[in-house]
Amino acid sequence: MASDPKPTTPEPKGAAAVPRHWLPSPWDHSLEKLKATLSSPGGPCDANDLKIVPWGAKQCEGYIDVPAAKIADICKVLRDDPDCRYEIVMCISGVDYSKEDDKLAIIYHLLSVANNQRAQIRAWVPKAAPEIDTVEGVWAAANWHERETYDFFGVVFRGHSDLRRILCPEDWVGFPLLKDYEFPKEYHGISCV
Amino acid sequence: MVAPTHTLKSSGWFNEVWLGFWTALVGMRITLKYFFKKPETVQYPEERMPIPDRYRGIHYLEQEKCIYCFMCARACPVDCISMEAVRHGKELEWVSFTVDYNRCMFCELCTYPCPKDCIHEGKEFALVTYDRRDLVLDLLSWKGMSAEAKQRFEAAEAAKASGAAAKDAPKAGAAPADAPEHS
Amino acid sequence: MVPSSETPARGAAATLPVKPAGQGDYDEDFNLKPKFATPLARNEREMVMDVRTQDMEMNMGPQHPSTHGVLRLLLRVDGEIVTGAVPYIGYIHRCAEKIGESVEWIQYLPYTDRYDYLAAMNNNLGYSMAVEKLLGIEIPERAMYIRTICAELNRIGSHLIAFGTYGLDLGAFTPFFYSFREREWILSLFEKICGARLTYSYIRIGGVFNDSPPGWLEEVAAFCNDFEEKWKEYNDLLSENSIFVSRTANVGVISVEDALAFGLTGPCLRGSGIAYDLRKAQPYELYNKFEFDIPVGSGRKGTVGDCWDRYDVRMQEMRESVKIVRQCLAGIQEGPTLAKLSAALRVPAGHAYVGIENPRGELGHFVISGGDKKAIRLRVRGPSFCNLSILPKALPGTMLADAVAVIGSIDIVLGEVDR
Repeated sequence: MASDPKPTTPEPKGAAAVPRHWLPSPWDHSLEKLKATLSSPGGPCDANDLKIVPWGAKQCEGYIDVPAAKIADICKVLRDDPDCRYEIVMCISGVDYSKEDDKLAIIYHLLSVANNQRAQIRAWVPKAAPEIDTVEGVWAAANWHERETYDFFGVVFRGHSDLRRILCPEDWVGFPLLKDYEFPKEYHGISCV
Repeated sequence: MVAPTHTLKSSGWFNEVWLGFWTALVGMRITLKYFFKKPETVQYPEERMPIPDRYRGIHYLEQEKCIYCFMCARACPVDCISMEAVRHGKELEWVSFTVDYNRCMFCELCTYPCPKDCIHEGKEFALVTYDRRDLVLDLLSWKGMSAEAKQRFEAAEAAKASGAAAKDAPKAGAAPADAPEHS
Repeated sequence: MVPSSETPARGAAATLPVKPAGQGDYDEDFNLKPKFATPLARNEREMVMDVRTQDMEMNMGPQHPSTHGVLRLLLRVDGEIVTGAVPYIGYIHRCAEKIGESVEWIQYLPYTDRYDYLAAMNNNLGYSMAVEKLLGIEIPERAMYIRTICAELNRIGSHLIAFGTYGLDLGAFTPFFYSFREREWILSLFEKICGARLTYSYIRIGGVFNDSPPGWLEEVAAFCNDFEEKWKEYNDLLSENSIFVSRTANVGVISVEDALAFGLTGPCLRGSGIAYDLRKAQPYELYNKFEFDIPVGSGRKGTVGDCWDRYDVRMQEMRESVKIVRQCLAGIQEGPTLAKLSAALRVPAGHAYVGIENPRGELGHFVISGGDKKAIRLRVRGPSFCNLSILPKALPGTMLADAVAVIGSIDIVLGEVDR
């Protein structure tokens, strides 16, 4: 594992000015507030563990990088805290930013119906042995999203009740959305080229 | 053995029977109304629905306009357009311009980048063959050089030759190196 | 990770270290855990029918007309009562997300048509908006109006299919033909504006491809007038029909808690009584200009969150869409329909998540760009995918024939589930 904690993430270089009709978006949770909630006394993690990754200058749609080891606790807080109340996990997407990275990102898009706000949190797992705790106990919808992430990226969700491939056939080899995935030549005698 | 019941709210047995009868009658009335109307359907092979102007069907190519720039082929998401031509100065000698309709999804993305506005999607839609290989269609209306292009090319060659002759008399007899082999 | 040596080969799931046998509701051989065998998921009707037989497993689908595509459901039935259900999906998986990483931004547009093929305009809109957000461009106002008209018309068309096929699932044949008649008009409107009937690729990054042809807006207005009349007929035909109500009321009740936990959106969430519509809650494009209501499941025929409520929400939504289209027609002005964009589109590095209200719920596009011609990651959050995941929860306890009613009321499109 590289000692540098910052992966080669394509962060915006001189990102375009966000047009008026996108901003202000009052339904994006302020990242500072989110960070304060998560790192409050009795909260799941320390303020040093959390890193705000803004998008452009206006912090529209930023992430919070959270420690992968505490993801289940963090999600529980996000669901139950009265300021957050993220009842719905919109999607859980794995991201393989580039071939050179030795980490995979797992991004959780959350929606709060009660507070009408959104948040995105991101956790990093090593590519060599991608493992993270399941959040199925927090949101039942995570079941299929995690299966999909396992299917495409091979991320193993510890404690998942039914972790198998969901979209690809069960005997598919490899994890197709990894950047170093090689397309198979054939599948059960069917030429793929 | 008690059968499962779905109760409508605040309805007794007679009420329910009446409701079932009445709601069925309401539906029957609507269908009866349409019984006397002109049918919406058309008998397809004989009658046909009008096809609007912007319909996205099988491509057609205005070959005389095409400048062999590959913009359409590059824009295609499925790489179904391929073309081949030989350039003779400004004129083109066409070999092929094929669209593979096994792949084409009629998205019309090929027509927008065309600088000469020469590839279009037409109103033809029937793609029926016995063999998948027949679905690779050639859009060319002629192969090789068109008559006008050939004329222009020969005129240009002649002008070039005479110009060269005027400029450089000793080399006047040299034939152009890449003369068209067929028309 | 090198896929060749370390990735598990055939039967990958069975060899996973994290799946100790006995977790979840089913084991690997699809034997229900005792959790399901106890009266946990039983509703009152099942209590009444106190006959226990040996459980039987049966497949419903993939070739079953009531599964709306190639959905395979492995059902465990106790006589007539479903005691467990496992959906198997992926039969028409087309690697949309992988394709998104290998084609250019504008070239991906035709692929968006193909996940929810009943609401392709909405898919185009969602994808275009996500890329526009990254690009940071303004869309001409006329383009936004045309987009809204198309998206709402497509919502009507999609709900008409839901209405017609739902009747068909439950044995009412007539509404299907009537709904297709109106849908045909919508399709011919789309055919006139973009040339295609199903896979439009019309709403593009930066606006729309073509301006509306002359006379098109007038025809849309004529459609709206006609549709209002026809809608009443549909309502009379099916909504109040006693047989239909008996088949749907109090069937497949999804509680608010379940709806939220399983990430239900769209009519399924609103059918459970939550008035959450992205067009109202987080308005995009021009939706904050328009006045319309959010229909919510009321429990008028049974319990809040039953199949009839979800059906009713769709019916009411069609009228709201007509309202929106009318307001669009009143407000539309002449003007350009496409923002200036370079042909070889390079999208600035960054990421954007845009969720829009598809007829089936929130269609989210999460795009990550590295500043190149192609996306680094293009994630699609399909509403049907999440809505379908509630089946293992919603089906146990219903009658086998009602399973069809529940699946139909969720209104899935398998093209989008499998992507």
